[in-house]
Amino acid sequence: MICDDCMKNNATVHLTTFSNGQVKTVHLCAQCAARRNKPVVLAGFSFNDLMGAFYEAGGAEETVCEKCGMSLSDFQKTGKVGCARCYESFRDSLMPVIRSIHMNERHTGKRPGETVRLDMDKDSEHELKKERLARELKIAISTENFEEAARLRDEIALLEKEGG
Amino acid sequence: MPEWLKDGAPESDVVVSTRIRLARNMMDMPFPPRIRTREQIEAVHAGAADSLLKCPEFRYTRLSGLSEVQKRALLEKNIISGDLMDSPDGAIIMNEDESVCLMILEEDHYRIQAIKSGLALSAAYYEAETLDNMLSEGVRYAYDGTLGFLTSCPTNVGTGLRASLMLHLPALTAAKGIQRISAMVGKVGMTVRGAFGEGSAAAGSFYQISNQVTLGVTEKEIITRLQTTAGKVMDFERNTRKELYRNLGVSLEDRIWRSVGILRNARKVSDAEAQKLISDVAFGVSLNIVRGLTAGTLYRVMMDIRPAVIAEKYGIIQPNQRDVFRANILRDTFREVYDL
Repeated sequence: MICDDCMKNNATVHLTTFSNGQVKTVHLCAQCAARRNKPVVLAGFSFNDLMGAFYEAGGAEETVCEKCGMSLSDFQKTGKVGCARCYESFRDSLMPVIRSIHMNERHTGKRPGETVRLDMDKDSEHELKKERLARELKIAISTENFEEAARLRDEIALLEKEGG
Repeated sequence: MPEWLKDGAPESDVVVSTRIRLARNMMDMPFPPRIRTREQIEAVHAGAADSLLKCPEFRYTRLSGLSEVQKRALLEKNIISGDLMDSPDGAIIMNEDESVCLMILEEDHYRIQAIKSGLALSAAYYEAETLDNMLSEGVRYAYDGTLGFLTSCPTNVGTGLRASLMLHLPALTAAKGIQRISAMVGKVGMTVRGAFGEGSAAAGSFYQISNQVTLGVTEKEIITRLQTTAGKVMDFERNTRKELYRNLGVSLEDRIWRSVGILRNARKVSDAEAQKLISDVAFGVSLNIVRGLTAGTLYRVMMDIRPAVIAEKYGIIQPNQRDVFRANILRDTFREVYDL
C-alpha cells in the first residue's frame, strides 16, 4: 500500500480519524505520519497519542453528561471521559471511536472479583509460590511474628524438597 | 538496586522485564480528570488503603510527601508513571521490593502494576490479579456488562489490561529490523516503542512491546498473543545476533571489547552513554564473547545508574559529580569481566 500523503513510500501507519460522524482511515508512511502527528513512536503508534485525531469538531449541539457535567467538547479536547456515566451520555460519539480502536464493542474478559485461569507451566508456578512465601517470611521476621515465620519456613522447605 | 531484577530469569538474553497493568475505577465517583472535592479524593484513597493495607506486605505513600528526586527515581525505575508523578493528590501502595504496586489517582482512580524479571507474563498477571481481587472486595468497580471495566480513556476500556515486555534488541537495531518488527507487531494489535527517552533512536536498543487492544479480547488472549509475538521477536533477534557475528566477526568483538574498556576505565560517564555501552556488553554476553557477567547484573546496574536513582541513593544532585559517581559504579561492576 502506498502512502496517501507523499504517494511514494510504503504505508506502514494506518490512521483512523473520526470527524462529522464519519470514520475515515488514511494510510501513511512513517515520515508523513510524523508530519501529521508529532508524537510518533518509532513506527508503531500509541493510541493515546492519536486520540486527538479521533475527535475533530462535530455538530453544533453541545451534549453534557448529567452526572459529572463534562461536555462533549471537553471530551473531544482531552480524549478522556469524566465518569462512568459519560459512556452512556456520549454513546453516539464514543462507540464509533471505541469500535475503531478495538475493532470490537463487547467485553469478553473477566468480571470484578473473577479469577482468570492461565495455563502456567509447573516450574513458574512453583517459582511464584516460593517468591511469595519468601516475601511473606521477610515480613513475618521484620514484624517479629516468629510463629508465622516458622510456619512459612517449613512451607518453603517443603516446596524446595518437592522440586528445586 | 531493584531486587526484583533477578539473575537467570526466563529468556533474559532478550527480555529484560515483564509488566502488567490493570486500570480500575470506583463506581459513582468522577474519574480523576473531573474529581474535585477533598471528600471524593479521600474516598478513593481510603477505598484502596482499607482493602490492601490489611496485608502487612504493603506500604502506603503520598506523592506529596516525597521529594522531586524520590519521585523521579521511582519514575526511572518504571515503578510509577509520569502521569502519577504529576498528580498532586496521587499516592502509591507498594510491596517491599517494589514489584507489585497500586497507583492511586493516576489517569484512573487505580492502576495496579506487577513487574517481573525476564519473560513471565502469567506470573506477573497472577500477581496483578491477586491485588485486583483484593481491591475489588473493598471497592465497587465502575464496570459495565457490555463495555467491561470503564476507564478515563476509551483506549483502556474492557479488560483495562496493558501487558508489556521490555526487550533488548541490539542486533535488530543494528540490522535496521525494528521497522519490520513494528509492522509485524502492529498487525496483531500491539505496538513497539523505545523504552528510554522519547522519539527516534531508543538509547541502548531497549524497547517496550505491549498490547493496544483491551476490549473484545480476554485477559488470557491478550497474554497468549503477546507471548507468541514475543517468541517471534526473540527468534528474530537471536538469529540476527548470530548472523551479525558470523558476518562481522572480529569487528563485532572489537566494538564490544571497546565498550567494556570504557566501562572498566572511564572516570565520567553520562546516562545515555552508559546505556549504550551496557547494551553492547549485554550483546557480547549473549554471544559468549564476554564472560563473567549475567544479563541480570547488567540490567540491574543499568537501573542503578539512572540520574535520579543515584541522586536519591547517594545524595548527589550535581550532574557533573553524578557522571563521576556513575563511572565509579561501572568500574566496580566491570572489573570482573574477562576474555577467554
